[in-house]
Amino acid sequence: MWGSVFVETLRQGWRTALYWTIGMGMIASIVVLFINDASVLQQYAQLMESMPPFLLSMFGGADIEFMATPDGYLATRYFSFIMLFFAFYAVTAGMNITANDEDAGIMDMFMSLPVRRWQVVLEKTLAYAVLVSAIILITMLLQVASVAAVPDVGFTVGRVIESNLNLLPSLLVVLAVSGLLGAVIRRKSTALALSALFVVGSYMVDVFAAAMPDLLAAIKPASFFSYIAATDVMKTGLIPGNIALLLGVAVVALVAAMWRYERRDIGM
Amino acid sequence: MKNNRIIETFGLTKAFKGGAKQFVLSDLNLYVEQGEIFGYLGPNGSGKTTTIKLLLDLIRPNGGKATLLGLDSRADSVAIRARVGYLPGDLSLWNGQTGEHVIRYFARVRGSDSHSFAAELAARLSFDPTKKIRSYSTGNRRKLGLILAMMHRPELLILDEPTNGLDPLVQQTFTELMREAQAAGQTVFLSSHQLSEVQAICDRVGILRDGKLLSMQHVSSLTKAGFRIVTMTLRDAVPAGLLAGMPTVEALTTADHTVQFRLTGDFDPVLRAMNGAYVRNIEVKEPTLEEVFLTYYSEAPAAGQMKVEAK
Repeated sequence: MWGSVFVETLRQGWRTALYWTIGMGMIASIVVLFINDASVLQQYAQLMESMPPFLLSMFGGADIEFMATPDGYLATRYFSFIMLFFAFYAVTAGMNITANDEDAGIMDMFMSLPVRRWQVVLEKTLAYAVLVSAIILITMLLQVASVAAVPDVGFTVGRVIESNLNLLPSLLVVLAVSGLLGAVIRRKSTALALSALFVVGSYMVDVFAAAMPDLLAAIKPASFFSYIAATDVMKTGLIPGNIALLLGVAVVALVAAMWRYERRDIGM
Repeated sequence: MKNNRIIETFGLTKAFKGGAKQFVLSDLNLYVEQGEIFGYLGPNGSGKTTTIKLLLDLIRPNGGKATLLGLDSRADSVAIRARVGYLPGDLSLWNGQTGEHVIRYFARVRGSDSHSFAAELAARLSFDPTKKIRSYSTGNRRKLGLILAMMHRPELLILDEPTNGLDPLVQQTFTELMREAQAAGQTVFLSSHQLSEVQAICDRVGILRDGKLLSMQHVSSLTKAGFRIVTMTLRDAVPAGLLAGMPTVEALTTADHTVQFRLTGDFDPVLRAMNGAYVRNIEVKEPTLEEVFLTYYSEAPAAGQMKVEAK
């Protein structure tokens, strides 16, 4: 029956999602509460200024003036790398779509029920997309509450909200690509390793392309991190083109996973 | 659906690599009729589970096709699975969930209200569904698997080694459940290593070896046809070479005053070959299914040779 797998996936996944929310919410809040006076930002800007340009670029750009602001601090000290942490959850969730159950031998029994394989992939992915969204939203609320607790520092609440929401499309890409790898590759360990490589590799490409633009600019678009553009979003707001592209990639990966899982042998 | 054939395969073939070896289930042609209990026999790695996975569309054939309940196993797999109950040989479920939760979840996915029959099955199998899966023993997991396979009263039950790990009392209950299912018009396809169980409950059996179906016959004719087990007790020591080389005598063994053999023909040539030896006793037995089974695995059949009982 339609919706049964979706509901059961939410039921089985909410507790883990809650733990992640608590952990990520604490990090998001601590980063904000850490700045309780402007002198911290000055020290941070001075530290950044002393860095060689190569390292400075790796930390999110050469705009020292912006980095010395509360928003700039959040963009470079939180939003530029926090995706790596969130991505761990998304990869784990992606493995839960098919790979973990297949590896445990559960799919043998489950796929004897009257349900289409693509339907299982779709309902599970949607359920994890809901959980991922919940983690982002609650983390955002905790961070906004922390921002409200230090009104004198001068964070721009709207930009903080947008920067949090900006993480969601990338997380959906990681979720869908991990799900696709699990659906395509029969060995869970291989699928997991490739998913981790996808995330870490994308991060490395983005970081090193920022530091060595002449050498690596051509491959930068291959990294989904380059579409997060944390500093730009904090400065100017969400970038619709990037969001559309990331959501498009997530949908394509989901459809490919549904297509492939419908066609291959299960549990061999 | 010819003669109400609930399962029918037509040259079903599947090749894949299992470890370093290439396994091939080749050109499988079998049928199971409505209301019968069909036993699918074979040693480990002979292709029983592969056949079952092909029937359920968990894996796809390289050649041939199968129909279940008159529907194509691939094109109509969802419609088939709505009418089939399946117990895998190695049942794995979510360790953190209770048996009761899994039963309810499966019922929801099936869109069926089968909780009352599931509760009845649990009571008959002495199964406590309130515990977490991780705490169940092998036998209890098997019981849960049986409940999940049977709770929606499917037209066809496909059971892979259903009594593995069950104690003798529960095996007795299982036999009763199979008989009741048959009486209710359900069809059962079960694979098993327990030949005594197959002999007790199955109407027909298929014997598989190395991915090839060697025989498909009624259990009764399988055990009656072909040979008898003969044990002769002589008054004196068995003379050297007695009965050796006779074409109808196989698996000849002698010990002191006893001679035992498989007789594939009439008695008269044997009695004549006794050369006047004084025979105290002759014991003649129909072979058990196990003895028949072992015969199949001790002899390599000629290529393409398969025994299928005429209807």
